[in-house]
Amino acid sequence: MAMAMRPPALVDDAMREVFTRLPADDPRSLVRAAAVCRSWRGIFSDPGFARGYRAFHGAPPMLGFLHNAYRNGNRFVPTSTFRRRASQDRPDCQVLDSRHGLVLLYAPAYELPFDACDLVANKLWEIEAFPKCRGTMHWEDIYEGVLHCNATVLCARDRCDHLDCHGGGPFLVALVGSAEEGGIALATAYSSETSEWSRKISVRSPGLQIDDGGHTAVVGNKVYVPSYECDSVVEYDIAEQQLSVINVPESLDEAHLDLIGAEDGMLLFASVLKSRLYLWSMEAGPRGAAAWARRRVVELEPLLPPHALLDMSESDVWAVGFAEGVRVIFLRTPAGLYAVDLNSGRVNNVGKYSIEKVMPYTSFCTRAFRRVLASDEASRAVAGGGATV
Amino acid sequence: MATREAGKKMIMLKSPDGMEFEVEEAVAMESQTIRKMIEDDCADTAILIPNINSKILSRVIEYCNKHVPTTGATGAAASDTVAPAALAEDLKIWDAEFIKVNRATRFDLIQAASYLNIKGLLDLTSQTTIDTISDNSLEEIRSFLSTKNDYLPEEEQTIRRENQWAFQ
Repeated sequence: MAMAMRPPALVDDAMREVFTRLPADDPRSLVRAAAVCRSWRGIFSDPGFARGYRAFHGAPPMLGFLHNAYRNGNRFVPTSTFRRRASQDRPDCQVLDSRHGLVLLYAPAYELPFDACDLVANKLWEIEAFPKCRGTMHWEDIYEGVLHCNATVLCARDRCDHLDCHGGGPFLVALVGSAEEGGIALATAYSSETSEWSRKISVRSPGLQIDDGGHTAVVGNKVYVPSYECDSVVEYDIAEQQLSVINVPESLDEAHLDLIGAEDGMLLFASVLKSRLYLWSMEAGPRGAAAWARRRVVELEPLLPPHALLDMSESDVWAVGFAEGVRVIFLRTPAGLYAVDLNSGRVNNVGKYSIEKVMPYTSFCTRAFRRVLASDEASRAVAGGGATV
Repeated sequence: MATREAGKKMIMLKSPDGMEFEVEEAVAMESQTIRKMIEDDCADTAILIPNINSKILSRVIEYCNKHVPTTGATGAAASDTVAPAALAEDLKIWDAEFIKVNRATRFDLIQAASYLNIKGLLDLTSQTTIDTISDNSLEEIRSFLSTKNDYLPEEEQTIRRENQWAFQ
C-alpha cells in the first residue's frame, strides 16, 4: 500500500525558498525583489517570512560601520549593499555608539544634543540632554566639576533576542563618566519609554577614570565601561540602578587590553602583541570579582599584508572595533584599517590608519520592508488597485 | 555502478503520473520530509509523492544518489583513495552540469526540493535566481524571470523613492 503525503503548496513556495537564501548582507537585492511584483511583495510582507529569514541567517549582518572624521562629523562606511540615506548623513553630529540596530549621535551645539537613529527603518528620536552637556561628552557638573563621559545605546525590550529589535521598540541610553581628577564614576540612563533620565548614581574607587573614547559592552541590562588604565571596568546595572567597579585580571606579558565588546555573555578584550591577536573573555563574578574564562590567539601574519605588521615593537596594531555576532574585528595598522572575519579568516582593507574607533552597524533589513511595504499598501488603497495574493 | 550490498533497505517512491522508483532508503532519506516519515514509522514500503511528476522526481533522485554520503559504516572503497577536496570538486562540477536546465524545470526542482526538504538541492537550485536578482536592475529581473510588473506606476515610484539607496 502506498502512503500518501500531504500535497505541496505551489508556486510561491519556490520563490520563498529563493528569497530566504538572498544573502543577509545584500539588502539591496531584498528591496529590489520586493519591488518586482505584488506576489513577490506579498512574500516579503509576511511576518512568517521575516522570522524564517532571520532564523536561516542567524546573527544580524554587518551592514557597515561608523566612525568620526576629525572635526568633520561622522562617516558611514558600507560593508554590504546597504547605503545610508543622504538625509541620515549628519555632518554636524559625532557618532558615540551603535548597537541593536541603533546609532547614537551627538551634536553638542544643539538644544537636544543626543539623537538615536535607526538607519534601516529611517527613524530618528531626539533625546533631551541631562545633565547639560558641553564639548565632547564633557559636562559641567555642580558636584564634580568637568566630567569625561562614555555613552551606550541599547535595546530595552523585555526578553529581546536582539535579532530584529530596532524600528521603534524602547531603548536606553546610558552615560557613565568620571571627574577629571578621577576617583569617582557617575552614571545616568535615559529611557525612551519615560523620556526621562534616571537619578544620577556614583561609585568611588581610587584613581578611577572613565575612558570616554573606548568601546562599551552590554550584557543583558548591564553596561560595561572601560577605565583609562584598562585595569578596571565599571559595571552599570540599569535595572537595579547600581554602579560597581570590576578589576580586570592581569594578562600575560602585561599586555594592554582593550574592551571591544561582549561574546557569549562575557566581556571580550583584545590585545595585539608581536603579530598575534589575543582575545580574552572575562567572566564577571559577584562583588567585583572577575576571571579569564578563555583566551584565544589569532596569528595575524598569514592574514594581514606584510607592511601592516612592520615594526611590531612599537605596538602599532590595535583592535579598534568588533562586530558582535558576525565576529568581525577591526584592526588599525600602519597600512590602514583592516576588517578580519574571525569565522572565515577573510580580511578586507576598509579604511585609513587615522580611524581610531570603529562602531559596526549590524541589522537585518526585513523589518524595513514591512514598513515600506505598508506605506505602499496604503497608496494602493488610495489608488484602488486590484486584489493581490 | 557497484552492485548493491545485501541488506540495504529499499523503498519505493511513486509519482502522481504512476511511475515507481526503487531507491535505497539512505538515498531517500536525503529528503528530511521522507526521513521524518521513515523515522516516525509512517512510511510503508511505498511512498506517494504528490504534485512532483516523474520527470522532476527522477532528477531529484539522481541528485540524492550523487549526494548521499559515500563513507558509511562499511566505508566505500572509492572514497578511501580519493581526497575529500577532490570529491568536493567533483561534486561541484557535477552540480554545475545538473543545474543546466531551463527556468521552468529549475522552479519545479526548487518546489520539489522545498517540499521534500533537501537543503543542498534547494541551495543549488536557488542560486541562479539569487544571482539574477543580485546582479540586475529591476527591469532586467522582471525580464529574465518573466515576471509581470503589476504595480501601478505611482506605486512603483513610491517604493523607489522610499528605498532610493537600493535603486542607484
